[in-house]
Amino acid sequence: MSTTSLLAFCEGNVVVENQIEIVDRGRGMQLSSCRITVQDVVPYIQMGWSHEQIKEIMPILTDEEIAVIERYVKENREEVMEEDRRIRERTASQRNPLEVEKILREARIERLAWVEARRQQRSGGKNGEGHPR
Amino acid sequence: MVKGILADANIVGHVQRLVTLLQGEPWREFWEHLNLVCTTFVEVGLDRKTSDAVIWQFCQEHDLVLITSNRNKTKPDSLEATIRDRNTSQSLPVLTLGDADRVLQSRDYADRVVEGLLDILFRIDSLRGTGRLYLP
Repeated sequence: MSTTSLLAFCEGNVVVENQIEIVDRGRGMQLSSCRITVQDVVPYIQMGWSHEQIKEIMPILTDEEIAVIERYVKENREEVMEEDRRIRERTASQRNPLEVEKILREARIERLAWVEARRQQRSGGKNGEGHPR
Repeated sequence: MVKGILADANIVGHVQRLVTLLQGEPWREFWEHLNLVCTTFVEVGLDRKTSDAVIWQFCQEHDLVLITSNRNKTKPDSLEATIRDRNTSQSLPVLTLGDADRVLQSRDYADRVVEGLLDILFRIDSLRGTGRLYLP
């Protein structure tokens, strides 16, 4: 059998196509049937989540697709968990460029000032009603 | 400004969680002030197999900020290649959620992500051309 996603066979008049497989299209091992990768689901398999729980956060997944990923993880556990470890390590070290962080610091100051100004506006309005000068 | 945010297929529930927090205190008023939609693949008619390149282009054309998780291959992925090939000084950045599952498990972490997301969206036009930005 080829590694393509199409499996077709005839039995009587029944044709079965599009067997779900795990493939690598440059984004890491993923489902042949959609863009969800094995590593997208690994944290939730590690936490023992049910299919229903996983489908709640990734609604495009089917039970069949989750089962294919679970089987792949079981059959390739060491390799999958090592990849998970590398991903978490990489994630922990990722930072935005310094110039971006400067823009975001300024944004936060401005945003909080906006919120405070609105709060004072509301307080001033209430004081004005109850306390005529 | 932009029209809204698009949750990648691997992060729908996580973005829903963030939006729920944004709609509550202390962020509700500012979130309403930004007046952004939060949408998904299904809602905008993108296919479940859509490639990174097509998604990125769709977001640029429809003024949507893509939020995705970061759990792909440790080598540069197709989204990285797309950004490298197509990014201009006017392109909207892709927001990458580093620790997606933590958003669902830790309120403290989710709050920090919300704060970071609001800062980015508030100044999104100053951040055009930056390619890819990381949420805490």
